Amino acid sequence: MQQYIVRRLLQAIPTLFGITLVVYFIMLLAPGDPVSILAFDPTLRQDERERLAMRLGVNDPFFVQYLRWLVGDDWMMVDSNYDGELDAWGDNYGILRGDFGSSFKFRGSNPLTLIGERLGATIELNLFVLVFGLSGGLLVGVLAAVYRGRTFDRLTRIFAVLGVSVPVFFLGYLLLLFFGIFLPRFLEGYGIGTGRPILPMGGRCPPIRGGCPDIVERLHYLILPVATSALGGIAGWSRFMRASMLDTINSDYVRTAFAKGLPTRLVWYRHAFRNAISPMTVFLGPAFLSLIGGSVVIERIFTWPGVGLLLFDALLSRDYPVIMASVVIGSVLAIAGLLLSDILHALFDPRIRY
Amino acid sequence: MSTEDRAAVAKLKREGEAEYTPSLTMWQRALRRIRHDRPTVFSLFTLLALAIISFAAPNISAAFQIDPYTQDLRNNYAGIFTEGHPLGTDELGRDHLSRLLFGGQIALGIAFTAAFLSLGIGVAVGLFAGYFGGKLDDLIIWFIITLNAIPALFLLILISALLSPGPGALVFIFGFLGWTGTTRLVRSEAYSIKEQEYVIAARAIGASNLRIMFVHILPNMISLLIVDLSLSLGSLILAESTLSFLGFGIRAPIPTWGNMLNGALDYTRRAPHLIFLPGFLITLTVFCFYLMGDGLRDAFDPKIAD
Repeated sequence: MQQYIVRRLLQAIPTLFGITLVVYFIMLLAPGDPVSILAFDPTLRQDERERLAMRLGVNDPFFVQYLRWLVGDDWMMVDSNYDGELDAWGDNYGILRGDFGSSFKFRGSNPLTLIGERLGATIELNLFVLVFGLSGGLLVGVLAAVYRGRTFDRLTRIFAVLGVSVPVFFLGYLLLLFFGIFLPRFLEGYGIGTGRPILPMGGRCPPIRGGCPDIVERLHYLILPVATSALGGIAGWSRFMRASMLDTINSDYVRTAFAKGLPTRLVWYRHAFRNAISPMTVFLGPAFLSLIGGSVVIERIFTWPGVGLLLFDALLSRDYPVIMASVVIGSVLAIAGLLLSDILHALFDPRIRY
Repeated sequence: MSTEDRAAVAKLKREGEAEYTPSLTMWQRALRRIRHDRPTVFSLFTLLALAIISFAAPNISAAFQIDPYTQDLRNNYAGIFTEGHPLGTDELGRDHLSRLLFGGQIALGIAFTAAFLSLGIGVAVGLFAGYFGGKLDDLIIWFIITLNAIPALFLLILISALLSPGPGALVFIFGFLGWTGTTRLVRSEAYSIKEQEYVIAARAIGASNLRIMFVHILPNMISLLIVDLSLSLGSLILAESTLSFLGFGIRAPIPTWGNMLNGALDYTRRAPHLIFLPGFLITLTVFCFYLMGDGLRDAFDPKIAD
């Protein structure tokens, strides 16, 4: 087992390098070069621009630039005063040592610090989404398999397709409208409430009161974003679980369990259900991926102050260091998720050879 | 079985002949199953109707004398069934119906071209990787794993936010990012089909590699590819509308269902139909594509008994 984990970790390393390569390549394709951004100064002479370009190394070949971004330039001499001579050690540590440069928008901030401040919010949100999506989906899936072919099963099929078809932003808007306007107005008509929105309409902790209030109030802020984001998860998981459950209940040991006279309920929920869960771990990795990607949309709708919103703002203001850092960190998290899913799968399923 | 078939079987039985079951080709059997599958028929006809009215958008707009770009600031936020604007107007007084129609044209147009582009790339790469295997296969798989480890939406918004593509460039972005799933599918199929006896027989009589790949292996996964196409059309519509909603895909003033929802929350109280209609159309289209994919998968499945 240990060997398997170590091997999978080693396999992740080339993938990581590939990701940095892809991200860096896309960045180089983007219009606007660093010189015109840093030297937005009409009085700058042409030769000064050229020296600046040389200092920044934007004319170097792609792989040289990529390597400098990756491992930094503090081990080599650079031209610090733009006079065409190499006269000082570089001061860039490279992203492998956590140096993504400094944010354009938040002057001088380290992108990793910015991400670190917001990572907690994103993890908190996605953890709740995962837990609700998984538990809801497993429940619906098992029931659909138990009542296969009946009305409940057919309804869940339609519901599952619908759940993955509704765009997250549309569902989010619908929930905001319902709990923000329609329901309060309706209740007000019957003399209940004040017509104010029933649930918080976005944000995480109210900054006005300073710090976060007790946990119950914090959970209120989670209800709408989690409900919006978890629906697709419930829909997807329920289909996987139904298929897996049908696989197990058609197997021999379940027939044996029935044949020796065990009560139906016991066979369903002890023999079949437990074995049906282990293939679910395969889908855990892709689920992590879509959660990380989807956090941009959900955080944008509910102004949830996480990494997704940071990336969104950085893209709008073309804050390249922050964009690169968020995409790389997001991908690292995704790889960690994929690894975790593979390892869990190997742990749960003794048939997997490693 | 249809009534004629039943009658034929009954007749043969009466005549004391051996049991008779009409044998059907894959297409005949699929068609027969689809005809009895109401959700699939429903989604097929809905999609057909959506496609027709979207591609007739210029004609319909001309008939109603409406236009998706003409602004009329004194007449904005008009409700449904306003005179001259069957579905009201948006925040700049542009006609909502014609914007929805043209938005559908763009959504379906992008989805179809991008789906066929990524299908083409996916089939070609997958066939080569699965058929030849070896180092090339390893490299392709490594590339796919790398590309898939970056959250898809991150990659999409990264590229489209930085390059600000028009509809044409967006098709290429979707096409060149979306082929990995098809490649994996085709690769694993090709891998198992190439060991079949008829492929070995084809090689024995001297068929070239290309001929084996495209004449003997590819036709055997046509049904898989049709299902794959239907599902990827649905996800492309979703991806395009998500991008446009965030403001990174198709940008104003060109209307798409996604960017019509961008900012629509600000004027909910005055014109809720500006949220409901585009959102409903996205959901309906994606729903129909997914439902159709589901139904087609069952229709083509040889393991399911009639």
